[in-house]
Amino acid sequence: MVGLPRLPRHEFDRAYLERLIAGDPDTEAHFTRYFGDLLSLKLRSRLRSREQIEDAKQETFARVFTSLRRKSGVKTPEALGAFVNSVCNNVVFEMYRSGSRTVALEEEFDAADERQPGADSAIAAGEDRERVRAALVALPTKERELLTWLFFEGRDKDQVCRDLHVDRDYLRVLLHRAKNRFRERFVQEYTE
Amino acid sequence: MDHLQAVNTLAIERYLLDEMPQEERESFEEHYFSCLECAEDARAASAMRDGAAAGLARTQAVPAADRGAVLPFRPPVRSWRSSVALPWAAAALLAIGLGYQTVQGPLLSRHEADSVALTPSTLRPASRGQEAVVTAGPNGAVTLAVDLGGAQFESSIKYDFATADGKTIASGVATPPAAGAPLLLMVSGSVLKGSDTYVLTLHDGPGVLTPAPYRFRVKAP
Repeated sequence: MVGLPRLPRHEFDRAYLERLIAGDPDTEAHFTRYFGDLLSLKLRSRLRSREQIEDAKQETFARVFTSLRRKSGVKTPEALGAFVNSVCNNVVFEMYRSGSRTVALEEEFDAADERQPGADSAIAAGEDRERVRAALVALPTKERELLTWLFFEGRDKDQVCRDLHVDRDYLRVLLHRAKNRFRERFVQEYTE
Repeated sequence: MDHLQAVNTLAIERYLLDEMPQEERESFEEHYFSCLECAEDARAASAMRDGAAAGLARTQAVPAADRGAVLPFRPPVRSWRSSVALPWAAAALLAIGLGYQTVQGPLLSRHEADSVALTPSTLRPASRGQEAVVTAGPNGAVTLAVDLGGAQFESSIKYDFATADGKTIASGVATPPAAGAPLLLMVSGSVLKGSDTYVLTLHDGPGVLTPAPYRFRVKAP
């Protein structure tokens, strides 16, 4: 049996928090990467465009760093994740209040962000994209089709269930299997 | 939401499928920002969904004209060679054979029919860590279809049945089923006594195969 692999991770302990407060570049890079992924996942259902999501993420990080350096907001290292989530909620709420047109993302989500990223992040993004592509291509054909129908074509889920002769419960199980297989391959891509 | 609830309810899958009400969505977000395990799962799920949304999962060999065609996961059986029922049938036959060997007293009396229909109770990944209720069959025997949740393994699976207080009541070794097929296990009614809840654990060599044991209660038919 090949056990479920894990993405690289740090423990959010006191030392991590102190490095973050001190502005250690590696720790900051880890922090923004780790929570950036989680924030993207969260924000995607709340904001309309990549630009809005990037703005919300940057604003969240800025407020978290400011708060950490003032030594306010996070009492214990274990509370760091909850704090980031809470700050993000406030940012999104303020964006709603400021009158931004914020609806759930549709197909236009994948339109390119016209702002140019830095060279390093562009390379990293390109490498990540290739790893994601390699992990997806390695999936069984039916799982790739399922993911394409759900997330690329945006097919109606009830119709997908009817086409596959499965119910909604089993659709979750199919997605669960695809996700586990993807995760395994994705981590392999990182470690090779 | 806590970690067990997130795992048991396939929370990340429901989150991706937009099946959560707002309150539960917020509760799950609060959880995965704090839980390292779920955060890893969420990051992988996010990468998978974003990759698929960008078209990276598309199969290149499919002609444009056929792009709308749907291949069912459970196609109707057309021939023995392509039948997805084969692993099930083989496993069921094995289960019946094992049942004859393990059930005290024959599963069927000499005066009854030559065959018996088994209705397996499915233990799915969603039921890990919580109790599923299964219905006993002939002579109190229980047939379980254990959904391995896409887990891959190489050689054999060692299984252990125990009572809720940890006393082993039955164990054995099974050949791994074909990819995607469940592991079928039949447990004799004679050993399923003296406890309300039972725990099934799967091992692969020295390690535990499943992240959490499968728990189930037996209901009389």
